Amino acid sequence: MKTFWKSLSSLRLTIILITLLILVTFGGIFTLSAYREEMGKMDRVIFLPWLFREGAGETGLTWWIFPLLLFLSFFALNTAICTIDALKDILSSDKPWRRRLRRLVVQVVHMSFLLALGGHLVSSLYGFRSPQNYILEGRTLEIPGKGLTLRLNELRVSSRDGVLTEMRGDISLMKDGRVIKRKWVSPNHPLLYRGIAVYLLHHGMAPAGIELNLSKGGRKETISLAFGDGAVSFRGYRLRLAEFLPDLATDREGRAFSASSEFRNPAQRLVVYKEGKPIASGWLLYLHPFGFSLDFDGYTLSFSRILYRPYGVLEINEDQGAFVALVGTIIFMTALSLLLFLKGEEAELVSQKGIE
Amino acid sequence: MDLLLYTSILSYLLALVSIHLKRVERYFPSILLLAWAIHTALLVLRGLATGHAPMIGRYESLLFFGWSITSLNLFLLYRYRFRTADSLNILIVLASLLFALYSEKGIYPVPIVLKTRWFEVHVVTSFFSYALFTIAATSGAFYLLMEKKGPPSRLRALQEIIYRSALWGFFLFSLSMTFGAIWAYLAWGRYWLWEPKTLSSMVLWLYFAGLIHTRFLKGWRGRRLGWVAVAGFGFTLFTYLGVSILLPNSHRM
Repeated sequence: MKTFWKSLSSLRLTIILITLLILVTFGGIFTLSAYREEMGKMDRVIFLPWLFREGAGETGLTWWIFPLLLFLSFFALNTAICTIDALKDILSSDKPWRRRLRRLVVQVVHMSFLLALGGHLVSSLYGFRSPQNYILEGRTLEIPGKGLTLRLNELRVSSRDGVLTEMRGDISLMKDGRVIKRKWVSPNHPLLYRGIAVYLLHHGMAPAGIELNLSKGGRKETISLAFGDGAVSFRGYRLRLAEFLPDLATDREGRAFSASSEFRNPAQRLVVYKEGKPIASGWLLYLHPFGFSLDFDGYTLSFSRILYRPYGVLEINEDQGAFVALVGTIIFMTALSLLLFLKGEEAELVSQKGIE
Repeated sequence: MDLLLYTSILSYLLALVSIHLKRVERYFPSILLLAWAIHTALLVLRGLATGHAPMIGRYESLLFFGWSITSLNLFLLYRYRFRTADSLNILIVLASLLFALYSEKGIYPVPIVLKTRWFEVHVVTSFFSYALFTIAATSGAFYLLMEKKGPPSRLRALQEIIYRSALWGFFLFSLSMTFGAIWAYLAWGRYWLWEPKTLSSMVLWLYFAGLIHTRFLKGWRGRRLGWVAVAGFGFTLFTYLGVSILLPNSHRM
């Protein structure tokens, strides 16, 4: 048992494990390069559950991760046992503390490394990743399972020479309809709330409605109709967006139907009502919108343009181990910086000889 | 700007020649200081022209890498009062400047994700750690060359330079990875990315962690330490340039 313990705490084992870790990681570097698209999902999921649920079935891509995890576990064990041994030695030593301090700081480095690794393990096991959440300006979005809602109040984007120079969104985080946090979110400045982080990663313009021209006897005005809202009132009439068909076709009786579920001939039926009764209807073909015309009571409705609204792409993450990993890293860096200046190397060398 | 780059290359060549000419050898530190001053001016002017710290893209990063090596070389000259692997260091600086000369020098608007102090501290600590690993490697090579004929005190000092450079390099590289992780968390929502650059950084970190630990193993000093330090330069180059140029990754140059 003593020999086993001693070999587990061996510094030679440390070097062997580091060598193995380096070799396996090189395998990972080249696999990641060769299968970039397929491996990209590793960043969008909680790592360990994905690895054992789906990754295990894709051994061509993930073959290197299993030995990496195995060697890393041994490396952590080796570090832990080495630290326990050294701490026992330091605490039982009768040398003055001034001489023991450097070795003690080395053990703090080891322990903080294990703490950071533990934090990373928690992050790889728990939490959630919700990438690619498209949200239109002014709309809301549920954060699943958290009872929280996000609203994109405003999106500001500007660019120069084709390069984005500003992209920020005014985002409200709401609970039970009440705003609990509001922030202008931009790259490098996420909205953070109790371990949940909201990022604005991309932006774009999405069709949000249509604008129609209404004319009668040389007079012209425009009517805007938002997708989703579905209806607008004007001059005692009511215009409503009725059914939408992705691939409009007509049967022998002239009835409209969708020939497929693909967007080959997207079309929207518009209906005009007067005193609650439909008086006119027609199909607006999105691939040929300017052919649309609807006549009723001397009025003519024609297509003007598609209305676009800005949208943001949000990523919502919860990283439960990030804080622990950060604390571990801060302690690691502080202890490592002390080692740069603390004297006592020779004393350490003498006492380390006994290990090997 | 190109004129300053050519002048910088010329002054480094002059410094290199001065090492090997007995009559002017004593002027070497001054010539190297001059070359460093011109190199610094080049970086400052580039920074003023672009409006950001000159560390973005291959051209600027190569200039900064070379500058970091010379800065550390000057520090070693001041600290140890004897010549170490100066020739090797200058050769690497010259190689980086010549590579920079043939790299894209255009000035482009900075992508917004790079407009953060985290990026700057991440890059500065990265390049100083690369430079320290380079100094460790050149000192290792110099040790191997001097091993048979060099005085023991000088060989001990060289081993100390290798170890101290590796330790400081490891510290700065750890700091750089920490800053990079914080930045990645704030920018992309993840502090760890499964991609070649992150993994090769992990390899470099592990390698130098191993090098630092070998100090406490019998038989890993002297010649073997020299070879391990030299091999470390291969890992450094792979992480800095190899991955960035050859493989698709988040730090494409």
